[in-house]
Order: sequence, then structure tokens, then C-alpha cells
Amino acid sequence: MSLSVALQVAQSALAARQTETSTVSRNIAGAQDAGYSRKSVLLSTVISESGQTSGLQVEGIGRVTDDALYASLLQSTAVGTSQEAILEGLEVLAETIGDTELEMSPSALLGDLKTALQNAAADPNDTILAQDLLSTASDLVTSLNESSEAVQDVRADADADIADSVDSINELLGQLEDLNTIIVRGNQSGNDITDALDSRDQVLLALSEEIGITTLTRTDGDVVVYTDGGVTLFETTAREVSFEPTNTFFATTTGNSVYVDGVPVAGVDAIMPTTSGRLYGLTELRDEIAPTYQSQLDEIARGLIESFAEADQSGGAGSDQAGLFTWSGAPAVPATSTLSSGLAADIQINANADPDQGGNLDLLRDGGISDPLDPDYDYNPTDLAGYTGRYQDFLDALDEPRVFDAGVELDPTDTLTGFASSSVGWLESNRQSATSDLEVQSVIVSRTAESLANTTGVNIDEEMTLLLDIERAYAAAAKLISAVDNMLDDLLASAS
Amino acid sequence: MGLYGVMRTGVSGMNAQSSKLGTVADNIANSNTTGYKKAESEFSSMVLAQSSGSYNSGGVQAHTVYSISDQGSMSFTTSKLDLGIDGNGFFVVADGDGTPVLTRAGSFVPDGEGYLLNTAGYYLQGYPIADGATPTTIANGLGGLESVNISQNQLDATATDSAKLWTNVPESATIVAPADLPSANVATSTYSAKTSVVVYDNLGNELTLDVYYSKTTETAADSEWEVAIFNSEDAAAGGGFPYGSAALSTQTLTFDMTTGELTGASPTDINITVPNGGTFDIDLSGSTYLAADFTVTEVEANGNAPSAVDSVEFDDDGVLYAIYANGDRRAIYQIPLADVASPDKLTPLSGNIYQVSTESGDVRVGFPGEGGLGDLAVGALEGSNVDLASELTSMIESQRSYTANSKVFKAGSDLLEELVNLVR
Repeated sequence: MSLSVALQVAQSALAARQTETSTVSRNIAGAQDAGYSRKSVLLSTVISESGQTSGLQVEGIGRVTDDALYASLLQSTAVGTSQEAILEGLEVLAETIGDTELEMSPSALLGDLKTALQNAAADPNDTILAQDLLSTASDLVTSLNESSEAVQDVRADADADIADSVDSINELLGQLEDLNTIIVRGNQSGNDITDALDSRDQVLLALSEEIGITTLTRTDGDVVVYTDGGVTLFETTAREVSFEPTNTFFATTTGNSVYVDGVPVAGVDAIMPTTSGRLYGLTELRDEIAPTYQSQLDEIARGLIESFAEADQSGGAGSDQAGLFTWSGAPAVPATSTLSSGLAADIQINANADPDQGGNLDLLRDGGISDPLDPDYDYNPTDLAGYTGRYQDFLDALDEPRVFDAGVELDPTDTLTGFASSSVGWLESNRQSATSDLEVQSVIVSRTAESLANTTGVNIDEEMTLLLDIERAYAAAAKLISAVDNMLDDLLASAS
Repeated sequence: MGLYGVMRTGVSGMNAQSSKLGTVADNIANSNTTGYKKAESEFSSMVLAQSSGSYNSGGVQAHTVYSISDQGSMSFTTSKLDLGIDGNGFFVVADGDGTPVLTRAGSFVPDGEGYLLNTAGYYLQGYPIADGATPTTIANGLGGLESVNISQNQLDATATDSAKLWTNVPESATIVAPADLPSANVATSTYSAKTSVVVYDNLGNELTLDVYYSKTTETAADSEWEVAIFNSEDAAAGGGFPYGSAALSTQTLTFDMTTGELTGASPTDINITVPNGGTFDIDLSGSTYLAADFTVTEVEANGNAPSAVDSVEFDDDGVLYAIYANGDRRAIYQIPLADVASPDKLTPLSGNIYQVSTESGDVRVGFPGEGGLGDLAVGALEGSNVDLASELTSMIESQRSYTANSKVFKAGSDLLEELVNLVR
């Protein structure tokens, strides 16, 4: 028996070396592929019950994995993308402040308005100075209107991005379902599923960019995916992720929530909220950060209308009326100390003071802008050319502490100019902390990805050394075959 | 008698050696035949009655013996239907008429109708398995066996009949008012957490069960949670409450505030009847109540959607599994191994098969690995147990013996000729 067995064992060794060679070539081909994990051949020696060896058997192909590193990569990726989405939005918002040198922000223009008021107060009869005051005021209104529009654009873009993110989540879940079926079936029937496992890991990684996930592995490599809030995303089949996009945003608009498996996971009414991933970052931006900034702008607008409001001069009990800065609710002034949503988009220059719209510039000095025909609100009934009382009122009002809404994340008791500059500070500090968070997170993500690649990836040098070993072993097995062949030749020669 | 006797003895020796050469020729011819067992010639002497003073030469008789119990070496293949036996025993196969015989040649392929047959055209026999029940064997006979067919389970659906759902419910959850519990099934119903599980009804339809967890009470000693299960198909447009029909089942779990686990008195499962499907308990025993987010720690439900057989494979116990396209696997046959008391005394027939003879003893049937029977090697074939080198040496040996016998014959013939020449 022994010669035949020797032949057979050598043959099985050749087959095993061939499989190993093909695996090495697969590894080299996949070396540059980000999601490729190193494959290796699983071999076992076979010994029969009677103790007789039958050589080597190729049991299958294995791959190198590191579950802990992979799970931490999933998590840090999700955190990173959420911060990235927030930062992108904050940067767009920061453009409303613009370069402080260019002085386009509401805060800078408020400073200009103060200077224009001081100039006008120095020479109240000068129409050029009055005109300058009016145009500065009008710039401020435009800036507030545009900032408000920019904030709502950021919200609308975030909403559209959420819709894109939801689409890609659904697509990824579809791919996951296909790959998962292949893996489960392959595990059952013993096929080589290592490439499908690599692809599934890549899909899960792409999924974690959109929404934070946790995974659970069941028998036969079947994977179950939950959001980081615990809602089922994938279990046997993909669950539906749905979202109704909103096309136009106003300050009062509330964006819709994202539903996973019927549970709201992102948005104002989330029950099992997700806490990472692009989806989370975008909803944070749409529902928290941008609305807060909008509220701050609204409060600046309300402060302006209040500062320039006109009081009843007749001694009667007439209510204050909106003056130079007015709004759609004029002649009344907005309710004091509370947020009036959307005011920054609504604020405008009173036409009665604008000569271009048939108004009278003198009203800036004299008062009565709310209603030029109502003598009760005329501060300068005798039309004294040197009257500066009104300008002084304005200047005082700008520097007078007033009460702002407490829910806008700024000091509720502040002067209007102080409030406007803290709003700038709030946005800038948010942006800076988001930038540094993202920097730290991207280092974590890249380090984790690197460690994972070091553990599971292909080292070309190692593969080449392995190839040399395989070559040697193959040559030895081939040599063995030719030796057995020679022995049989000798035997046949003696038989003839 | 003398010289004629010598010649006859030479002839018997030549006959015996030619018989041996015959077995060698057969062995060499079948040295690559799967499952072939080598034949050998053994000799026995024939002694004649002796008279004093002269020797009556007898002769030699050749007997053919088979090394059927001798294990051949295993060679591995890529086909999952190739089977080898490592140890004692034989596959039970049958010819077209259904007559069972034994073989060690396990290279099976399906024929046009899905029956597994080996190279020599014999059908593999096995016990059919219905609904996962272990087949009963008849220990001393080949009854109850049928030809294994791998194409019969074309489309099959199984309703879910067991499930497990272990979760951690968050300690931080707020208490849901009784009027707003999911079990009330109103538009304002709310819950602490939700998950869902896919199950299958009798027709293999995929059903998603929405499972709602709601905290109802919390005391210093324990916390009660309502578990309500709804059929997701009944959900209101856009998902959620109110569902078109009441909860399929509700249960109240009580968690111990000290251990965070279910109290001894708390139910540990929830009974559910799937619409047009099975009635079973979902195991909730591993549920916990800890200060962590809602987390599913174990989720399982059996059953499968209608699915075609994708492939079949044997396991080491001889169970043939059908692998469905959805990855599910189900046992459809178990093949037995048969053994006899004296395998070497079986009668070999063409096609590497062996027939039970009176000398071999009765057949004994069991499953691979049981009661002294060998293991099944899947994806392997048992090669011929012929060793070419020893066959060649015994060929030379018997060649020489044949020549020697012919010399004896010639010597006798020559002496006889001398004797005849004396008469002239």
C-alpha cells in the first residue's frame, strides 16, 4: 500500500499548495482594496480510523477579522459623519456673519447704525446725514432678511440631504439583504463566502456613515442591524426607512421626522432617537442649531423694532407703535421679552420715513414715522431744525439693557448691541468646537481604520515570503512523486 | 502412479499460479477503481494417501479470498455528493429492480429524475425524514429504505413555531399612562421602545411582528413593563398607531429592581398566534432592566418563506440536507450503513457491489458512527485498496513459480520419455 499512499499524499499536498497559491494571488490582487481582508487556506490532515494517513484536505478559505476594532470603526465613523454634517451647516451659517472687515453681519451693521445716529445727532438738520442713517438702517434690515433666508436655506438643504441619506440607507439595506442571504446560504452549504463577508462589512461601514448602528450576529453568519437607539434596521429582511421631505422652510416650519420600522428616530418627536451618523448631524442642524440661530436673529429684529418704537407723546395712554423699523404686525410692536418667530425675515424699513417710497426723511428727527398724520406720536411738534431728542432716544435705546427670550441660548438680559455680538460669538464658538471635534474624530477614525487594516489587511512582503514557502513545498511534493515513479519504474523493469 | 503423479502435481501448480496471476491482473486493472477491494489467491495443499516406500505427490488448490474489510485510502474531491466510509460498513444501494446490495463505491450523482446513483448505476438507499423526525431503522434488515431523491422538495414553506427575543429595556424610560399604552391601540398610544421580528405564516408569507415595550409602573421593589405585539401589516398609514386590529398578544413583565432581571413570579414568555400561522411562545426569559439604552441581545425565529432547493449536502451522520435558496437547511434523508459479521465472505459482483451470502452472516443496519460502524467522509472517495508495488512483486513471484512448475512437468515428461525409450 505504501507507494500508492505516498503518491496520494503527495498529490493532496500539490492540491493544497495550488489552493494556497490562488489565495496568495487573491491577496495580492486585493492588497490595495480598502475593504479587503487577508484570506488564508484552512487545511487539515486526514487520518482514517485505522490510523492510515490520506494527506491534506482543504477545509475552506478563512479570513482575518477583528470584531472589536471593526465595531469601534463603525461607531467612530458614525460620530465623525454627524460632526461633519453639523460643521458643514455651521460654515454656511458663518457666512452670514462674513468677514468682520466687510461688516456685513447684523452685529457690524448695528455698529454702523450707531455711528450714523451719532453723526445725525450732531447735525440734526443735515438731510445727507439723515439719508445716510436711513440707508444704514435699510442695510441692516436687508442683512437680517438675508441672514434669515440663509438660515432657512441651510435647513432646507439639510432636509434635502436627509432625504438623500434616507434613500442611500434604503439602498444599502437592500444590498445588505442580498449579501446576507449569500452569506447565510454559503455558510450552510460550505461555499467560500469570504468576499461576501468583506462586501457586507463595507456596506455596514457605509451604513454607519449615514446612521449610527450596532450589529448582532446570529447562527450561520446572519447579521441583525439596529440603530444606535435600538430600532431594528435589518433582521432577516430590511426594515423600511421613511422620510417626507419639506420643500420650503420658514422660521415656523418644523421638518418631518425620519422613521425606521415605524419608529421616529430623528427629528423633534423622536421616541428612540439615534445619536450619531450623518442623519443625526443633519437633523441636529435642521431642528436645533439653525432654528436657534434663527431665533437669535428674530430677537435682534425684535430688539430693533422695540428700540425704535414710538411712544404716545400726548400724555394719553396710546400704545407704543413701530417706528423706523416695522413689521407685518405694525403699527403695534411685537410682544415684549418673548420670541416672535420669523421676525428677522419680516422686518422692514417704514415707508413713511423713506423718500423713495414717498416718505419724509424729517420724520427720523421728529418722530411720528408710524403715522405722520397722528400728532400724538410727533416728538417735535414745532419742527425745530436742531431737535436731537429723538436721535438721543435711539442711541440710548441701543445701549439700554433689555430682556430677550430665555430660550435662544444667549444671556437674556443684555443690550441690543451686546446681544447681537454674543450671537456672533455663539455661532463662532459652535463652529470652532465642531471643527476641533471633527479634527479629533477624524484622527480617531483614521487611526482605527489603520489599525484594522494592519490587522486584517494584506502585507505584500508577507505574501511574497509565503509564496516562496509554497513554491518550495510544491517542489518537494513534485519531487516525491517523481521518486515514487522511479521506484515503480524499477519494479516494472524487474517484472519484464 | 509415480511419474504421472509428478506431472499432475506440476499441472495443479501451474493452474494455481495462473489463478493467482488472474487475481493480480484483476487487481492491477482495478487499482484505480473507487471502492474496489483486492482479490488474492491463497493456496492449500492436497495430500494423497501414501504407501510405504514411495511418495505419491498430491497437488495444490487455489482459493480466492477478498480483502473486503481492508480500508482503502481516501482521496478528496470537490463534489459534496462523493461519500467515503472511514471504518466498517457499506452503503446500501439497489439496482433498477430495487434489489438491495452493498457497496463501498460512493461517487454519487443525481440522475434525470433526481435519484442519486453511483458510477456502476446503483441507486443509493436511505430513510426518508419527514418533519425533522428521526427515522426508525430495522436493525437486521433492509426494509423501510427507498431510493434517495434530491429533487422532491422543490418548494417548501415552514411556519414559525418558536422564537426568542431577549432585550434590555431602559431603566430611564418614562412611565406610559394606562390610556396611552400600545394595548389601548389609539392614535395617541405611545411606548418606551419598539423592535420587530420577521416570522412566517403557514403559506410562508413573511410577517413582521411589531413588539412594543412600555413601562407601566416603577416601585422600589420592581418595575412592570407591558409587552404588546402587533401585526405590522395592520399599522396606520405611515406606520404606528392605531393599528387596524387589536394587539395579537400582550404580556406584563415584572423586573426586579435589585437584579435587573425578571422576578421569579414574572412570566418569561408571551404566547402568540400568528394570523394563519402557528401558535407558539416567544421566549423573553433573558430580558433585563438596566440603565442602558434599549438593546436587543438575542433575536431568533425559525421558519422560512417558500423556497426552492438550491443544493443538497450530507453531514458526517449520513443526514442529507436540502439547502434552500434562502439559506435554510432541512434534513430530507438519512442514509444508513450496513455491515455483516464477516465482510470478507461477501460475494462480490460486477459494479463493486457485494451480496450477502450465507457465509458472510446477516446484515446489520445502523447509522454512520454508531455501534462500530464507520464514519462518513463527505467529499471524499475511498480508493482501491490495491497496492501496485505488492501486486507487481507477487506477479513476478507467481511467474517464477509457474516456470518452476512447468519444469517439474517437463522433468516428469522427460523421465517418461526415457522409460518409453527403454522398450525399443
